[in-house]
Amino acid sequence: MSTSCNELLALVVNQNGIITDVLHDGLELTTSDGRGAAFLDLCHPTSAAEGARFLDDLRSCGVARGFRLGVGRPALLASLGFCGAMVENELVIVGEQRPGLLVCLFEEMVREAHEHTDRIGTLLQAQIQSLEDGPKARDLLEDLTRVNNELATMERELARQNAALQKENLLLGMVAHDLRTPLGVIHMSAAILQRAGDGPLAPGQLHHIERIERSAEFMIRLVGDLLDLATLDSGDLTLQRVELDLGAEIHEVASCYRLLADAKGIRIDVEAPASLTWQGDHVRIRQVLNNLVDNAIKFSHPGSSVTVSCATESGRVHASVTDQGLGIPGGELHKLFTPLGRTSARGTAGELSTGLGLAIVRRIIEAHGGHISVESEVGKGSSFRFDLPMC
Amino acid sequence: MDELESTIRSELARWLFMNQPRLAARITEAHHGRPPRRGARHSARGPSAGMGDPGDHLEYLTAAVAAGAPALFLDYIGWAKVVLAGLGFPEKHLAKSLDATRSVLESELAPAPWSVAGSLLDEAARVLPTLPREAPSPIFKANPHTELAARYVGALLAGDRHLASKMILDTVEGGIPVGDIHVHVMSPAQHEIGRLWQMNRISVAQEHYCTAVTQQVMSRLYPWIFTTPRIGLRLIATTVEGELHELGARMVADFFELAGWDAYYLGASTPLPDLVAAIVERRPALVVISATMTRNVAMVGEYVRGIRAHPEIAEVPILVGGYPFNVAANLWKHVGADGCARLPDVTVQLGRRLAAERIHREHILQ
Repeated sequence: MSTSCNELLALVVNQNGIITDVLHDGLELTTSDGRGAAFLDLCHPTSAAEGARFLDDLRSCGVARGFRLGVGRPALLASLGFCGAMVENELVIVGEQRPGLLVCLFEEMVREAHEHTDRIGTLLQAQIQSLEDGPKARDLLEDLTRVNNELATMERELARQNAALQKENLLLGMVAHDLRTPLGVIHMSAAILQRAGDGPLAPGQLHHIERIERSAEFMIRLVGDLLDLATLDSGDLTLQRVELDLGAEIHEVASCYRLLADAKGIRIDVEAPASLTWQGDHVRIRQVLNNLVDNAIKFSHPGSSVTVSCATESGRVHASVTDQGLGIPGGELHKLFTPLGRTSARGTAGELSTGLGLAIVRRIIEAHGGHISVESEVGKGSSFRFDLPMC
Repeated sequence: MDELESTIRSELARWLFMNQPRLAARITEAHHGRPPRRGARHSARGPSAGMGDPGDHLEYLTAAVAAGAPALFLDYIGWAKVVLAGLGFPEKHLAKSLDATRSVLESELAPAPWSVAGSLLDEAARVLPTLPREAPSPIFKANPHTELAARYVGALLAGDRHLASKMILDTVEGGIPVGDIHVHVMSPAQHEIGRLWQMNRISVAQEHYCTAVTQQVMSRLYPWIFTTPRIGLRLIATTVEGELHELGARMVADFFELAGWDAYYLGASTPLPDLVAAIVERRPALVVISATMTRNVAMVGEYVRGIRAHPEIAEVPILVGGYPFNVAANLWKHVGADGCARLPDVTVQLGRRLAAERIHREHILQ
């Protein structure tokens, strides 16, 4: 269970959101000792609302995790995944750039507990005689032992779950990888049978072959998404940052999808500069744009339009993909960016969804130091907005 | 044990338990010729530390009578002799105290229960002179890692948690199996710490500190423990309510984990309803219940009965363990368990056999 804590922020915050102690600040985000400042003041304005939700969750549930917030000063901005737990009346908050936040939180708590044990040991050594003579010695030692036992048990369970999680990710990756090859063969064979054919096929046979091909295509997409998600969740994602023309990229994605959109009678509009220099991972950002535009077309009605826009402001790229389609019920918005958060939805032409695309999109954007949000109204459409630092 | 004797024993145990404070005061008066001072029931040596006073005699006598296990009382007498010697009491102190206990109980009990209690006290008085005044160190028993165990104890006693942790981790990284470290280093080290406390060489505070450090060192070994391939068997382990000594139970859980089981350790002092709920939810192939203090043996029996009384989980095999079960060979039968083993690796073998038998039984019934 080794987690580098160089990119870690660990704070103790009171119920009013004021920092009372800085346990660790590997990114040097806090000034001087950091105490007395508001936690929300650490957040970038674009993350203020999400930060407030994080504190609310923490106060009401006692535990909160899975919040991605932009923190720091403009010159030193970082996107951290946050989790926290209420300990007595204070909130212990941990932010980290890579996944495994819960692990890191508990490691930090356990490390603190170990330091406490050291301090208790020193105290006991110094006061042994008075403790032994004191009438409350036995009760005190029992209390300490009880607390220590609970910490030890918590640490064991955490290690167990962490090991299980790592195995799960590894297994997922292996399964997905091993599935991809036979699925490719099935898909290709079905396509050959359908198009070239070794002989005449009855209409019923053709129908079945088409179904095989469609299913195999979907499963290949699902396996690809699973592989992506496993990579992103395992912390192994390394961005290949290069200088690229984001404006041209958006126009090209729109152009590629026009064929599909035309087939459904949907118009794609682009409101973006022809050229916009930006630094990021070319393949991954293309994946983001493909996913969002593909979704927009999937959930749009014939005769409606999809608009892809992009502009720069205050050193950041602000982009959006807006449709006039089915829209998303309010109750589903909060889980939209989680894996399998919206698996029940079908496109307007019955298209299937793996339920993983938006989770992948969110992880890629956050890995770039960006943030994604959605506004939607059932029957009127959805607008996915994301921002990214210029470099 | 026939039914009459069993009834006499359980009635006697109940009577001893109900009358313990009054009897202890009478024994003290008979021993010293004056009533006990207020609040003098236990010395301030710690939670298990009233060793050698009349209250303790009665507590262990009660447990031995209730379980029909004289070894529990005789072992206690040996332990108390070492403790009192460490505190500087003359050797005759314990003999005199046992005499006083004998005379008080004889004066209060009817012939049948007295014969049970009296025979135990007589046997204790008989073996007392033959018992050693100092306990031998477990560190120097046949042990392939004697030197490491001795150095580890040295680091614990010096309060050097980092050194203690480092020497264990270095050894494991060097290829020594975690199970060997548990059996040959940490387990004897903990016994040695207990022995040093018993002989008044270290304080109870030091003993607790050393235990806390060993708990932490054990947790540093989890990366090795939780990476063994799974075999699809599940275990739940815990200690009974009020039992804070948890290292043994955790060590056993880790051994099962090393053997590929999913071992859920619920922590120390788990209330019976919580344990039952966990068994119902997780459906383990085996349950391990531990008690270190002899006074908690009866509670282990209650736990076993509580689990057996639940129709959904009545068939789950139960292993018990801990110091009193090591002292009295058949105590596990008395509490209604399915088995008990002294060494963790033997416990795993036994657990596997019991789980396999149960699966086989269910298969036949289907």
